[in-house]
Amino acid sequence: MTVSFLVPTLDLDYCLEQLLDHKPPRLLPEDTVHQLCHLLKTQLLSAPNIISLATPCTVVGDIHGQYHDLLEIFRIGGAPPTTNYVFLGDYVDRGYYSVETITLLVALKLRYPSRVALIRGNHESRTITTNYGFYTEVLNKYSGSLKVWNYFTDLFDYLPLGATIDGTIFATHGGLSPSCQKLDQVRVIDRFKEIPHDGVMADLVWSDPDPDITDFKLSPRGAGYLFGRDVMDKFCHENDLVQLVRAHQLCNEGFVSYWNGKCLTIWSAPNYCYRCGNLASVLEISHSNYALKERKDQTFLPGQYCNVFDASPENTEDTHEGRSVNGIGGATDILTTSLYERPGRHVEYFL
Amino acid sequence: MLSTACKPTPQLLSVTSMGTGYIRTKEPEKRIFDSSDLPAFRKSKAFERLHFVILSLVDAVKGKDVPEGFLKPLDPKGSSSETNSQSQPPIHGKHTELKLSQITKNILAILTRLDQLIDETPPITGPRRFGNMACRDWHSKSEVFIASILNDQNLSEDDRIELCFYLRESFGSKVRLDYGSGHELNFVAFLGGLLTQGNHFGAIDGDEILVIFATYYNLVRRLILDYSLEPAGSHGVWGLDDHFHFIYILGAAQFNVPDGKRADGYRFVPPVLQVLNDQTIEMCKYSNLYVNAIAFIFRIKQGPFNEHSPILFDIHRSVSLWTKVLSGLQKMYEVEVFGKFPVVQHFYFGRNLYAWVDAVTNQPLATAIAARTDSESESSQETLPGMLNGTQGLKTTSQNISLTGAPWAMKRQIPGTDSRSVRLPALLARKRPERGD
Repeated sequence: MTVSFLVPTLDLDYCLEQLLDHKPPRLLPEDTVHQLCHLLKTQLLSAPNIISLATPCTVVGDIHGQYHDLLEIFRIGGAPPTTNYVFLGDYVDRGYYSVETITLLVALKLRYPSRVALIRGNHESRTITTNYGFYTEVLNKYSGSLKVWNYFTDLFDYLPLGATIDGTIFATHGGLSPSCQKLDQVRVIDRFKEIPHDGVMADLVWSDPDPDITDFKLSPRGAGYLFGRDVMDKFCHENDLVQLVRAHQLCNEGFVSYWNGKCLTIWSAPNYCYRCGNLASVLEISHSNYALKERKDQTFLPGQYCNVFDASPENTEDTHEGRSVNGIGGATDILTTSLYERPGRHVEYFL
Repeated sequence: MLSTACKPTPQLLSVTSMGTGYIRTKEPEKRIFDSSDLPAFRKSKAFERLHFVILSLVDAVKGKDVPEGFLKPLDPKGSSSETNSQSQPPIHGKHTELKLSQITKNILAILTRLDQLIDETPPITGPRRFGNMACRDWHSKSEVFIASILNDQNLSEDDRIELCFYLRESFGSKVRLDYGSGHELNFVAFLGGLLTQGNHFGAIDGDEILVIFATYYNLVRRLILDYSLEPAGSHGVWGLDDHFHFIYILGAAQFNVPDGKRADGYRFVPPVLQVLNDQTIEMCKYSNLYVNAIAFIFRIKQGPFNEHSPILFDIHRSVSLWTKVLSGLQKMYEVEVFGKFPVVQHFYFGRNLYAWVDAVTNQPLATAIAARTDSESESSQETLPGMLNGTQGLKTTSQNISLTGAPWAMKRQIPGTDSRSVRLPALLARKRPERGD
């Protein structure tokens, strides 16, 4: 590691300030993003595929570039470092603020390494971000330069694939794989690569639970599998687990609980794509002491609370009249006008 | 089944490899299996005909307004779309001066019936993850209905089956419960096929085409809203629109002057830069499909327009001529619809109307998959592969909802149940990071 890649705490605080203390959040320069990504990569190199975490912690599902709603999560659930956070992936794509969202999360992870955990989702990949928006967003916000997209997608290759919480809860983005019965099979994967089209690594980020089946079934997504109750039971039994917490599917109420709370889906992007009208939630786990009070019809396990929230009011604030949209027409003063006052790239079709 | 090497034409391979299922069903079949099939698609007769259809439709609607009374009112945010649709059934022939041809009346009758099927299939109440399962029932009902129609047209049986197929695919995915520009393309294919086969393109004028599309979009929007179809596959804010693209092309064409003609008399065309204004939207939302589509976005989306629809916002900030808007949207359609594997992989090819044959040589085209898997009948999905812990797979009926699809999505097997290895499409650049660099 060379000296130039050491980012002092003071500088991290400055990065966080740029993002948190300005409306809209200020984009960090390409070089800074490069440094942040590189530093985090070196730290994640030694992280196992499945990281071990402990309660109390708060689990967050898909965010998809909904930056205002991420800040809302910190408002309702406590901001790092006062709350421990586990993010289950899908930070980018579809939303308007993917760059700001992933930059903030990376900066927070570096600033409070033991308080923030970032897991990889199916959108943390080159192929998917090219198709679903993050790529286009970087082109637009960094004046046609793809450097930042490269830094982030390279970093995504280093993110862990899952986490265990108190050794009894398994948290991952998607779900189970027919090719993997034991967590140890995940632990030995070489994860430092683009997410493949199939195999355990792909299934972990692509699979979905299906309450109508007992077994595995092909997924209509074209990647990953649907898994049923028996699969879930067997997996928990073999690995001494009580629960799978995952994200990956839009839920109208912000969460969906299957099989007596054994498989819990957490969705954290309210009013998804500005129009779905859905709620969102984060799962707060305070302890993992299940000895006494298990109920037959429970939605959550004891010690768990789903903090449900609606879209942040900031989402509806006018960002254009305030001349304040990052990169796109977002000139703040005369000097930066020539730099930023350029139409988005897609307008090329129309010239 | 494959004939031996003495066959001179390599193209025959794909014909023989179609297997017997092809002759039996005559239904259009999947031909685009991965992105390496896209160049073949561009050479195909289907591609040529789709472009002919699109250009004909665009030409026909230039300088025309949607006749009054056909576009359903867009109710304000928050009010229930259900009550609205009951109080406002699609109004046909409100304006008697508009003479509709028989074929238009037939299409409208079909679409009206499909709309009634929504009334007969109310959304299921109670807890659900997101998409409404009643939509599956609606699809089942509409499939039965569509299979029974188009009998009275002067169509060959082949054409009829093909057209029914494209119409059936025009209303979104039954499995994933979503709707996108690929489904919209199927409706274009259906209408274009019907009009070309019956030689109606000259007989039916732009007004009628707009009436048909207006009724179609009314129906699709009702499906989207009533059954909460997920914007899956959408690029989120970084796409033109969550669901539609062709509607913008038609609407932009409406604001263009017909080729070789001068507009007779004054016709109000709003400046491109003014289209996002409340006033313009109010004035044009029931006469122009482009403005109508924008009004629909305002109706369903919250938040600043420049944020949730930055592409449209940019168009209206930096383009000033409707000719440019039209040509830009068409160029974009080439890239974002015809050029994107995740979209066109769902377009199927028939034998006659939209055939998978070379437009120049008239020879069947090969597909990337034909070279690898010999004959795999499409109907084999009926028999599920054996599952991991022994039992046969149960039929999933309700839970696998609408989802973000993998761009490389294609038919696969559960590992360990089939010796055929799952192949990796070539599109993925598998870049390995240099560790610790």
